[in-house]
Amino acid sequence: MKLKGILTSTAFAREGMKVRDVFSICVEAGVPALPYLNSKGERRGFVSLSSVMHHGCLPNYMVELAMVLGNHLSCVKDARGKVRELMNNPIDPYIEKPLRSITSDTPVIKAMAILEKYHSSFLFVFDGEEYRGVVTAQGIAQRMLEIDAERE
Amino acid sequence: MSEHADSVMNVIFGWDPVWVAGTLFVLTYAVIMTERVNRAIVALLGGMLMIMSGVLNQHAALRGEDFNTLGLLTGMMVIVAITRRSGVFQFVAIWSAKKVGAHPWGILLMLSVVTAVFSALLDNVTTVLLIVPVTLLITQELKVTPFPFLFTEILSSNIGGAATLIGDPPNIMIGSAVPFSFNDFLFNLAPIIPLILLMTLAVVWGIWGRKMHASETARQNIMEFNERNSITDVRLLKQSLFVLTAVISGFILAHQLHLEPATIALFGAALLLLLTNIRRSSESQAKDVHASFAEVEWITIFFFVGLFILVHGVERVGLLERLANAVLDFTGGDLTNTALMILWISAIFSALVDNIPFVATMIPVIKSMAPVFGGAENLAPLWWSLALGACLGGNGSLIGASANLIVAGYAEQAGHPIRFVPFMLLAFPMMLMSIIISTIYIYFRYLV
Repeated sequence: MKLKGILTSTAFAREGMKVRDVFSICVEAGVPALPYLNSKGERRGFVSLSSVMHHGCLPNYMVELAMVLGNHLSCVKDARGKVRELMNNPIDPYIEKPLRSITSDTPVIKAMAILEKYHSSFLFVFDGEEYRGVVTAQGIAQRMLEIDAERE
Repeated sequence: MSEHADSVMNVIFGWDPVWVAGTLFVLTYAVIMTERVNRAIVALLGGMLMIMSGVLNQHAALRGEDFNTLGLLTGMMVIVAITRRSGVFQFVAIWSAKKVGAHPWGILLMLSVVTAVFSALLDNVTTVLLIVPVTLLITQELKVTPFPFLFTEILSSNIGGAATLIGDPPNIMIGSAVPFSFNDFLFNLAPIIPLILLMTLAVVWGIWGRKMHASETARQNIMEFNERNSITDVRLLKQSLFVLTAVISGFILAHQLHLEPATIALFGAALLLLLTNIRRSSESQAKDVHASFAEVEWITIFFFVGLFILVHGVERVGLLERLANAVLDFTGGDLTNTALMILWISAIFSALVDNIPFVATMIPVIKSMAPVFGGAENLAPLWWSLALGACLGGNGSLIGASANLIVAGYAEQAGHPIRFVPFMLLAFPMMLMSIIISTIYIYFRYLV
């Protein structure tokens, strides 16, 4: 089983884009991350929804003490204003490295092994310089369900 | 290999061993002080060069290694790494904040005392890593600046660490080299610690405490925190507290048990690993043991490994004896002058550079003073001066102790940077105050 059938094509996140633009692309395509290109069109990492949410909204100490927090927190006051502010931020400070990629003729089992190794839920697929899309755990699960349905 | 074979020096090119050992020692310490290369790398390189240059052979270098220090540090690190997973330390921190009705000054007071007590029983870095997130969360909710809280916790951590044998690496090294028991530290150093902490908190109250206020709503938010939820594994909590209590009891009874602290700490670590892994699959055991060992601060352990070899090298060529003689010449061989000089120099030195290399060097220097003062049993004031100076001196600047840097790093990440100069302007005089109190204590308890 190869990756070609289970890829999700997306646009790139590009230098200078706003968080809202990247979120829109991710939500529309149903993927958790996008590869990131600098102004020269070079691959410089990736941007993920979880990373933007973590670094944009959650200080580390809050994450560490997540279990003890009460239901009333001062930081949620004016949450809407803070969300709008985050959406208007440039995406560049949230870039993560390294960008892990595989080629489209990679067997799915190898992709699953890489996902497991890096505790990730997505991988980018490039054939040389050409971007093919994102392979996600959900995409693999969906393909498995399709195979199961074919048997029936 | 015989001790005679160990003592033969074949220094490269027939160079003078004193010069080779001295140069390696000074160079290594100088590079450590620049903080440009990780201290573990520098110390290991320096130690290995001491062997490769022929000042020591491998067997002689091994004699320099202090298993008691290495074993005690490693054992306690494993125990604390497993115990902290239970969430008990966060439970205590949040519980204590709620006990004072979430009033800002009360919280500062409680967190400082908790920090000091934890630091006396755990290593300081672990303590601040547990307390600082709680502090930042609470100050965010109370809408008060976290600096006074973090500042006081840094000071409390180094003050509390001075109280016991296991509180701070200098004490572990001194306790191992002399050897003093856990109870010796408790009876000789712990009595002065509450007074130093009290005076420190009084100054903090004068600067910030009386102006601290928070709204009723903000305090209510803190009171809604559920500290019980921080306990993630009740079984692990029981196992950890059982082993921690047993280990501390073991330290207290070490003399009667004829056991060294390293044996007790490593036994405790092994017992806790056994309790937490029993009835698990071999794969799960391997994962858990690997995770527990991974939390040991190997940088500190390897730093010690290299440092012990370096110090043993300069000791064997007689350099430290010469240094001891120079100190005695300066103090006129008077016990009071020597003790107070060690106290003050170690405090000033520890405020500016890492106190571990300083203490590692001073231990053989003080040991070699024994004949002048009528035997090793009369050196106690010098050891307590070194311990108090090295531990409390860490409060003098942001780089004075590892815990200080950890707090500063965490605070910066959270958007509350602690700057070097403003910190030192406040902390250095407070460190001097603690050394003045220690001077009075040492003088009246041991030297009059």
